[in-house]
This record gives sequence, C-alpha cells and structure tokens, in this order.
Amino acid sequence: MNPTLDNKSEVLRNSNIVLGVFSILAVIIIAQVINIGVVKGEHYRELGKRQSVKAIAIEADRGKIIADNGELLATSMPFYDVYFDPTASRQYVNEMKEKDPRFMKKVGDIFAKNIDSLSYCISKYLIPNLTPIEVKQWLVRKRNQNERFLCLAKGISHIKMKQVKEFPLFRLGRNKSGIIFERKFKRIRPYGDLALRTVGYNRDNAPSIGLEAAYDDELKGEEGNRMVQFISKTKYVPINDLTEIEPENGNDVMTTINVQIQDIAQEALQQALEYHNAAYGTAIVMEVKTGAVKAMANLKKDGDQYHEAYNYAVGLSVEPGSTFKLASVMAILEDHKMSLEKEIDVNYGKAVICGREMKDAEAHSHKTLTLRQSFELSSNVGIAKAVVDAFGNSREDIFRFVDLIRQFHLGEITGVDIPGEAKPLIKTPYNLKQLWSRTSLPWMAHGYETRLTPLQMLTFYNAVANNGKMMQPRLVSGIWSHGVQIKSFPPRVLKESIASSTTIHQARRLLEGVVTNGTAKKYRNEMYSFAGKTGTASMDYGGVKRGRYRASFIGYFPADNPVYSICVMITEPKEHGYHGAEVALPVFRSIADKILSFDPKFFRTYTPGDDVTAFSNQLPSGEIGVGGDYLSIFNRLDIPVYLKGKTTDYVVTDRRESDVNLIPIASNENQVPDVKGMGLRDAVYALEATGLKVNIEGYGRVSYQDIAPGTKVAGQTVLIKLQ
Amino acid sequence: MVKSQSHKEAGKVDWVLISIYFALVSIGWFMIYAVSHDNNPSNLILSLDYNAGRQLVWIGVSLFVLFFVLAFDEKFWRTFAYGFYGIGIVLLILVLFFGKVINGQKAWFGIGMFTFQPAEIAKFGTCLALANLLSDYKIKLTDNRSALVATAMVLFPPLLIMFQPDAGSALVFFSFFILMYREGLNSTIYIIVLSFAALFITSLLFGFDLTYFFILITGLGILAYQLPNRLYYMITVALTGIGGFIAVNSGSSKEILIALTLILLVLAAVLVFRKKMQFVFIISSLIVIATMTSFFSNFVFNILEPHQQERINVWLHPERCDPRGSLYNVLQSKMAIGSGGLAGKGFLNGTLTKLNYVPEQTTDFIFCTVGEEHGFIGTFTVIGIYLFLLIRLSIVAERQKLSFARNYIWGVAGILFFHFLINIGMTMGLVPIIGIPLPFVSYGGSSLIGFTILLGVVIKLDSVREKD
Repeated sequence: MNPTLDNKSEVLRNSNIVLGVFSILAVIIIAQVINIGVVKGEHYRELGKRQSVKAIAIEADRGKIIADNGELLATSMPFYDVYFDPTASRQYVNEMKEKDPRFMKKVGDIFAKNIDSLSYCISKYLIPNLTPIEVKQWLVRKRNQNERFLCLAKGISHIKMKQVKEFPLFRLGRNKSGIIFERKFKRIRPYGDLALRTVGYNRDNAPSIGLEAAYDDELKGEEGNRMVQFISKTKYVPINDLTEIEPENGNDVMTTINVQIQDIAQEALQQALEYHNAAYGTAIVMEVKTGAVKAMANLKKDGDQYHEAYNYAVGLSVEPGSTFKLASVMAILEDHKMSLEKEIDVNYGKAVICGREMKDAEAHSHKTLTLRQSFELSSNVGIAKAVVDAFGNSREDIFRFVDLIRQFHLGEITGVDIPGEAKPLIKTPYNLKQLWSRTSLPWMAHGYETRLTPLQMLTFYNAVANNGKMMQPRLVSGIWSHGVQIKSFPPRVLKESIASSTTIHQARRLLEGVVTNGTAKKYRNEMYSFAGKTGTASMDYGGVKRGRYRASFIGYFPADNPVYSICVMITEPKEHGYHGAEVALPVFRSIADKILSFDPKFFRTYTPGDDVTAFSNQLPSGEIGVGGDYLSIFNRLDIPVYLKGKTTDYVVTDRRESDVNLIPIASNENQVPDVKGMGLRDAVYALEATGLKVNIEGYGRVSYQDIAPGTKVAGQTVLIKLQ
Repeated sequence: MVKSQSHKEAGKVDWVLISIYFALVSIGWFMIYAVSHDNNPSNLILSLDYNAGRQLVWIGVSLFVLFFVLAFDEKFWRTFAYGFYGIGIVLLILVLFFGKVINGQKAWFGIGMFTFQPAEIAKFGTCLALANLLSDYKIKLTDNRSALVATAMVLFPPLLIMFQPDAGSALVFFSFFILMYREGLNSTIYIIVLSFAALFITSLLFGFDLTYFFILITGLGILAYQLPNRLYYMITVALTGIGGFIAVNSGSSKEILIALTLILLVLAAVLVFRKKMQFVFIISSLIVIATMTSFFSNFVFNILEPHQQERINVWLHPERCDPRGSLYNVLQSKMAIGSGGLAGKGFLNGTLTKLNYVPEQTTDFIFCTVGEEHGFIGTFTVIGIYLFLLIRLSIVAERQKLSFARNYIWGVAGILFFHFLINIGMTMGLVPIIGIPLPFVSYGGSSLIGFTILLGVVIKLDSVREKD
C-alpha cells in the first residue's frame, strides 16, 4: 500500500503550502529589489557615483635636516616605481576606432608599432637580464592574459624616470600607453653614517630616533588631497576643482652640527677606538659661549667595525670617575673649606677611608700632596680625604656638599632637544633606597656612586669654561621654510652662575694645571693652550671581574679664551693602555688640532707683508676653478701667479717653487672639458658652458664622465658620477 | 492549484524545463561576459583567459552531460541511490585528509588543474537516497522511527561538511526538510524550530528587554482572554502594550518589565483560583522557555566564531559595521542593484560590477550585474524565471506515479529554492552572506555540471513516468 495514497488530500495541501512559501519569499525578494532600487534608490545611486570619485593623498615632501652652514644631513629624494598596463593601449585604440573609422589608417595600432623599440629600451635600461625578444614575449603574453599592473622597475631616480617617459609608446602619455609612475620618497643622508644617531632615522618596528623624531612635527609637513575620477581599475583623471588641497611641505631643521667638526670628531674617535680595541665611545664638541653642539659622535663596536648604533652622549648615564673631582673641589672652594695649598696625607696612594680601602689609579711616591696637586695628579685618596675633612663632620655638612653639587646643576637633565636623555643620579644623603652609606661621601668625591651622561658632564665643564654661566646644550638653531627662517632657537642659559667667580677662576686654573703639571702634561703643546681633566673610571670596582675601565677627558681650548669644549669618553679599551690620558686625551687633541687648522675663528688676521708662503707645499696644486677668481685671490695674497688664456676659463693650478701657474682646461668651446676631481657646481658649470646637458649620479667629487675629455660635442647629454 | 495530472505524451522530455534551463544558462553566460568585457576586443574574451570563454566550455560540457543523463537508463539512479549517498559520505571524509585548502576551507579535491567539491556529489546522493528511503512502504514520516532515520540521513553529510568548514554547502542540506514536510513530517516540529529561530533572531535584532516585553504582552493577552469580560481586559492589555513599548524604548525597561511580570503572576494566580490549572501551566511553561531562549541567544551568539558574528551583524545590525570592512560586500552589491533603476544602465555598461567594486561578481554576486545593467526588468525576469521553474518542478513532481521520482523532484526543487533564496537574498542584505552560487547562472564548472545533473535526472525520470 502506498502511504501517500492514504491521505492524498493532506499531502496535496502540503505541496500547496510549500509552493505558497516559495511564492511569499519570492515576493519578499521582489519587495527588497524595489526597496533598494526605488525607495532607497537615490541614496545608492549617489553612493555609487561618489565611489568612482576618490580623494587621493598627495604626499608632502619631508623637510631637510641641515648642518650649521646649510649642508644637507638628511633630505628626501623622490624615487619612482614604474608600472605598465599593457592593455591600456588596446583600450585606447578601440575607443578611437569607434569614434573615428579612419583612425587605424591614420595612426594605427600604437602597441604593435612600438612594441619592438619599446622592448629594446626596457631591456637596455630597465631589465638588463632580459633580452629585447624576451621582454617583448613577456609583454605580449601578459597583455593577452589581461594583466594590468606589470612592474618594470623599482626605485629609479628622477632623471631616469624622465628617460623612461621618453621611451617609445610611453611618450604618448599615461592614459594612451599605460605607463604608471609611482612616486616615493627615500630618506637620504648625504654624509652617510656621520652623526647618524644624532640626525636620527625612522625605524619600522620601533620609535624613530634622533632629530628626525624630535622635530617630526616640523619635518613631516601636511598631506595634500586631490579628487580624481576612476575611469577604469587603474586609470583615473584628476577633477580640477576648488577642493584640491596642495600638500604643505615639511620645514627644514637647521642643526648646530658642523659637518667638518663632526667628521673630525668621528674620525678621531674611530681611530682611538680601533687602536685601543674599545667597546664603544662618544665624543662631543660644544661651543662654549652658546652651548651649541657642533659634533656628537657615537661609535659602537659591531663585529670588526664601529657604527653609530646608540647615542651614548645623551643616553648613557654612568659613573663619571675622576672628571667629577672638579665638582668636589669646587664645592670645597665655594664654601672656603680648605685652601688649595693645604697638605693632605695621601700615603703613597693607598688609604683606608671611612672603613674602606681606597687606592689611587697607580701607586706613587708621594706621602703628602696639596689639594691642588691631588687634583692635577688625580689622586683619589687626596680628593676623598679633602671632601671628608671638609664635609664629613656633620649631617648638615654632608647635605651641604650634595646641595653644592646640585647647585652646579649636576642633579638635573640638561633638556637637550633630542629624545632619550638619561636622568642623572646624585644621591640624597642618608637615603637608604639610593643605598647611601658612610662610604658614599668619599666615593662620590672621586666620581663614583653617581650617574651622569657625557653630555651632562660636558655641560658642567662648559659652564666653567664660560665663567660660570651654564648654557643649555642644543642641537637645533632654527626652523627654516623655503630658505627663510621661521623659528629661531637662540642660546638658552640654564643657570646664570653656577658658582662664585672666585671659585670659577680657581677651577679654571686647576684645569690648566692638569695640562701644565698633571696627568695631561704629556699632551701639552706650544701651538695652543687647553685645559681639562682626565678620568679613568673602573667599571667593576668591588665586583669580581677586573680590568674594565672607562677612559675620559673633558676640557676646552684655548685655555685663556675658551671657544670649544670637548668631552671624550671611551669604554673598555683593551689594548695600548686604559688611562684617560692615554686613551681619551689624544682624541681631544686630535679634534682640537684640526678645528684650529680650519675654523676661521682661530685664523690670524692677515696683514700685507706677512710671508704667507713659508713653504711652497702650502700653495695649491691641481685645484680647479675659474681663472679670474684665482687671479684675484693670489694677487691679494701677493703670490706671483701666471694665467694663460681668458679670466673666464676654467683652470687647474700648477704649483711651482714660489709661484702658481694657471693652466686652462677647456680652451675649445666645443670640446668636453675634463671635470674629474671637480665639485658638482664647478663641473656642471664647465660642462654646460660647452653646451652639454648634464646627468648626475652620486655625491662628492666627479670620479667619472661618460664622454671623454677633448671629444667634440654639440648639445649631447653627459653623465657624470660623483664619489 | 496543483493537481496530479496525466500526460498524453509520456516518454517525451519536458520541454518547458529544458527551455528554462537554457534561459538561465544563457542569462548567466551573458552576465559573466558583461563582467569580463571591460572594453576588450570581443575575440579575446572568448578565449580561455577569460571567465566568459571558460564558462562557454563548461556550458558545452554540461550540455554533453545533460544529453548523457537523458540517454541513460533511469533505473540506474534508483538502484544506486544509496551507493551515491555512500560515495558522497566517503568523499566528504577523504576531503578532510586529502583536500586542497582554498580560502581556508578544505572543501575541494584538486585533480590536475580541475577542482571539484565532494559536497556537490553528497547533495545529489542525499537527494537520491532520501527519495528512495521515503518511497519505501515501510517508511512513514508520521512514525517517529522513520522520521529519525530520514533526519539522520539528511544531517550526516552537513555534519561532515562543517569540519571543512563550509557553512554555505552545509546549510543547503536543510532544504531536504521541504521534501520531508511534503511527505508528512509533523508540522509542529517545523513550527517549534521556526519559532525558536524567530525568537533567536528577534532577540539579536531588538535585544533581550524588548523581546521579553513582547513575550510578556503575548502571555498576558492569552491569559486575559480566559477571563470574563475579556473585551475589557484585552483592550487594557493592548493599551499596556503600546504604552509599555514606548517606555521600554525610551530606556525605563527594568521597571516596566518587573511590573508586567508581577501582573502576569497575579493573573496566573487568578486563573489557578478559577480552576484553570492545566492551561496556566502550559502557557507559563511556554513563556519560561521563550524567555530562556531569548536570554541565552546572546550567549549563543558570543560563542560563535568572530567572522560568523560579524556576518550576523552585517545582516541584522548593518549600522554597527564598518562600511569599508565587513559591510563592504553587501553595500557594494546594494549600490550596484540600486543604481540600475528601472531598465538598468544597459548591457556591458555597468560600472560598479565591472570596476571590481562588487566582490565575486561572476560567482556569488552575479545577481548584481543583472540589477545594475538591466534594472528591475532584469531582476524581475530572473526572479520570475526561478519562480516559474519551481512551480513547474512542483507540477512535474505531482504528476509522478512513482513516489521515488516525485520525492526526488521535490528534493531538487527544495535545493534550487534554497540556493535561489540565499543567493539573491544575500546580495540584498535579506539573509546573511553565505557563499553559495546562483544555480545555472553563477560562473563555475563544478556547480553548473552539478545542477545540470540534478535537473537532468528530473527530466529523465519525468520522461519515463507511468501513465494513467
């Protein structure tokens, strides 16, 4: 028996219900179609229209970071990624065919016409590892597969982009040919590693650092906005309306860094680090009167090489060692607790103070030393005993000592305009949390149980050099926009006077004494005077491991009228000594020597009659420039000079016994001059003078030119490479 | 009215179904062509580099398959009905181990450059097997044991599919309950399940407070109906309902709900006092169950996977979704359909579908292209053709003497209806986004061939039916 036949009518009713449900749901669907299309139709149509119009961000140029004389430390260069939509030309041809039946006759298939020459150009200039035939096959295949976004090259320069724009087919423009350039910016540091941590950079997975981070708001500018209408997936046309917002380019940050001094400091530091096989080090050069940081070099050993990897100058808070003794002695002098000539029993450099044994850096033959000698010879025992004598007698005295140290502004940050400055630590007496003990006072006296950064110590010494006026260290002098200064950060005084003028006067004599009589004696010289203090801090006193030191020298020059103060700190020297005098002081000397040789501040005024050419090797040789310029310079200096040719010619100097010969280098206007060795400006001038166009790669001086000197030319383009 | 009717020319194929089949396949192909078009010369679009070209090949293969099915002995399908079901189950298990992962789902077998979904075979197999099972004279869906066997048979494949996991393919199996309803499965079960679903959705849509309020008012109404002077009380309940609704919506829901609950308890006590114990017991149990369902719906929602929650939110609470994120697909799809207007933008002139704004324009969202390019005329035509197909299938089903054939055809009608409802509903935000194709229209070889076989067997079974 068939079950469905039993209750046929009921089953039939069921099927009708099912059909009814089908229909009801279909009606609901139709109702929704009407709802979307009519009731809310206007809304969705508007949304749809708006969708094909999009705002495209126009990137703002990031501002430059420049040195004190305008040289570039960091700048943004445009680079281009090149994409190609091989189907764009097909669309264009099809559109034109519809509009104009004779289009094929008149113009033809632009893709077919150009593909061979285009493939040749792409193979030659963009994808050298493919032959022109392979390029052609690739393009045609991708075109047939309807691929619309082929990458031809990434990161090409602006000049090369212009070249690519002139390729066959591409020169017809974006919408006809399908060529797409995407502009990107790369941050370029023309001086490479120089002051890298100070200038800073953006890091992908970490906060940005250095001045790039500190002045990001100034540098970044504001993104612009342009409305475009998309006409296909990759093509769009700008809508020219009033809503377009031009990007506001970032401002330039002018630093106080001097490229030459920075270079000198970095070079000297690196040599010392290599010679002593040290772990890391820092060297800072500061202008005494203004607190402007002229150089801030930080190098860390990384394998066999040294790199700017951490800003020790600002971020490394460590026990300063003997350089702190200046503060201790100044505290004694400020309260007139003791005369500099008072004899102290130093017991051959070994004594028990407050129940704990203290040693001088090296055992010596002095039973007693005056306070002055203790400072000049850097006797730990002498200074510690003097401070304990002067301040160790009562609780109030101990507090007074620490107050004086704080009066010298050593307990506070300097507020330098770069992120990451470490906080100093000057212990508060009897503060058990800071582990104050009865040995704290004598150990603080010679630079332990405190923590300060190299920059904080230098700021203190700089104040002494500046007759007690403490300047805030700073790295930025102003903000510039389009060559006009819009903000200026003038020198800022942290403290008008850190100590009495008598104390400061005595302190400076003491620092001079270190050089004339003390630990730095070996490095004094006749040419100029300098003052400063050596430091040799043991990094693991009391610990198990022995023999790790931190050598430092902080000082200024010239001693009588200080212009620059310098701090050098080298950590863990492993070879050729470890004392501040052996390790850090030579760096100071090397930096000071070189600054003196080029900085106009130290040049004597020239008076006619002086013999400026003491040696013939002081005359320029092989230097290139304009003849007329050389003539006037040498004439002013009373140096005999001979010029063959016109004053507008480019010449090379030829040094002779006591005179200079100027030899023209491009006598014929149609001949390519030899520009090797020239700076960029001179080279471009010389080449353009002969009617050439110049393409440039690299930085520095010209090392290569692709048209040989002497070649006859008329209006070609010459490529020069600089190094 | 559908009647079991005789056909004079039995033995011939049903040309109406074949015409509908060709109409849908052609509409599908033209829509795929329109999406691929994009201003390219037409000779290239027919190449295998384009979906339109490839779909043309699939249509060719499907026609061959259709011809093959029609030429094949129809007894084969019934004889091997359980065999197909078994193969389907085995493949669903194997795919979990050897399947190819596409879009995070292990739902595909890859053979060379071809891929196919075992769920398609399982669907066909289940349809055959269920039809066969229900045609057994020992099986009566009115009897609990039979109902249980049939339900297990239907729910086992989707259980396996959920391991892939592919919710869309799994849900399609619920379409067999349409056939089971037709064959007499107790309609109370449907009412209960649908009520739970409705309560669940209402709770998610309006929140617990409002749902509970609705339950209370309904309960009050039913109880008040038992009192003398019922008109007086009913009006009071209705007014309370309106006033309470405004109050609950304006935020003072706690107090109103507590007050109503107390009134309900008093009313129940009065009725108990009036010796209506049993009635009160049933109604209060229902109220408690409904309240629990509503209360726990949020809890159930929270244990769903985040992407499933997001889909439900897109469906019920589009205002909470990111128009550029989860809401993007539906919004783009609605924009495309809405921008079509009455007659559409014209063939090949759709921009939203062509500029890649609409996702999956040739597969899941093909209906948008119809809407954008052909407007209401297009969408009404497509919906009309589907409705016509379903009505025709029911007519064809009801004229079968062989219950296996009738069951099978109702099964196929259910599957097609389910796909049609979910796919088109999803493009307009009526149902959550579930990625299943629009039968015969969407791009894709495996789905087109699958549906062709389903329909082909219908036509074949019908063509050899017993005459009156």
